[in-house]
Amino acid sequence: MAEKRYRKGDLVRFRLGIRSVDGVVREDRGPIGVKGRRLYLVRFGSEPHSNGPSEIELPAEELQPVERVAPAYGKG
Amino acid sequence: MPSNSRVRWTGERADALDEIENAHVMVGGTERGRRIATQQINYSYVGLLSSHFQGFCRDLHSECIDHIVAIVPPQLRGFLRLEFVWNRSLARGNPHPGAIGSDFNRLGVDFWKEVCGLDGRNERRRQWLQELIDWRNAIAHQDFDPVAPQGTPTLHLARVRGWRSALTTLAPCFDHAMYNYLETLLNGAPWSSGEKSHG
Repeated sequence: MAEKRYRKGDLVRFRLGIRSVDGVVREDRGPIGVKGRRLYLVRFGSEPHSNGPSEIELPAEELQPVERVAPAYGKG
Repeated sequence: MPSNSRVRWTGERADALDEIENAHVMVGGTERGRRIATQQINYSYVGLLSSHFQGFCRDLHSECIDHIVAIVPPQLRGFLRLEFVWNRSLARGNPHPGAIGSDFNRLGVDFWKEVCGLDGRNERRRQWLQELIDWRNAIAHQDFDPVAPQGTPTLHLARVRGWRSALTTLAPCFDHAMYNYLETLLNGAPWSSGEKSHG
């Protein structure tokens, strides 16, 4: 099966310990991983008052795409 | 096959650097006009050389992390990945020898000791790398005092080529040093051992 490709700005979900974390693809790092697998730089949310978001590099197989939810506009 | 990072260094990164060499050749004009134009190209060449070497080092660092985390239980991989790239110097600043050493040392290797152990001349090449970075900073900040105290910041193509030659030799040594380290750590070759030479 072809490896899933992500683009900058894609929303993704990955495992960090026992929890699922949502993040945004910041960079396609290219086929530099084990056996040429593609790595992605993913930025994910930080806690309030922290020094900013964290970053992690992950292969596609450890990422799941997250659908963007269109904003719901109320009538009137 | 060498590491994927080195394949990229000798492929697309080398091609990009060759293009600026070609641009140098293409510059025409009068002697004085050409001298001014090529000077600016040499300055650009320094920036590009620094940036591609930084890219190579960052790639190799990421590639090594991917090999290391592959041998730990899946539930621990995320933590390790996070820690290894946290505050990585190569993601923020120039690839000066200290930044390279501190990032790779966090993987458990005594990086420059291993690199210099492969070839005694790498100590001199490390100094040339620092010299390149000093010039890169001088150009970026337009402050040439640190590299040209006499006030004549003339940079000849031969000098930039010398730096590139040093990096062209250092890159396979980086690859080789990390190959040796990971082979011991992981109890197996991280990438094919077919090309461990510095060539």
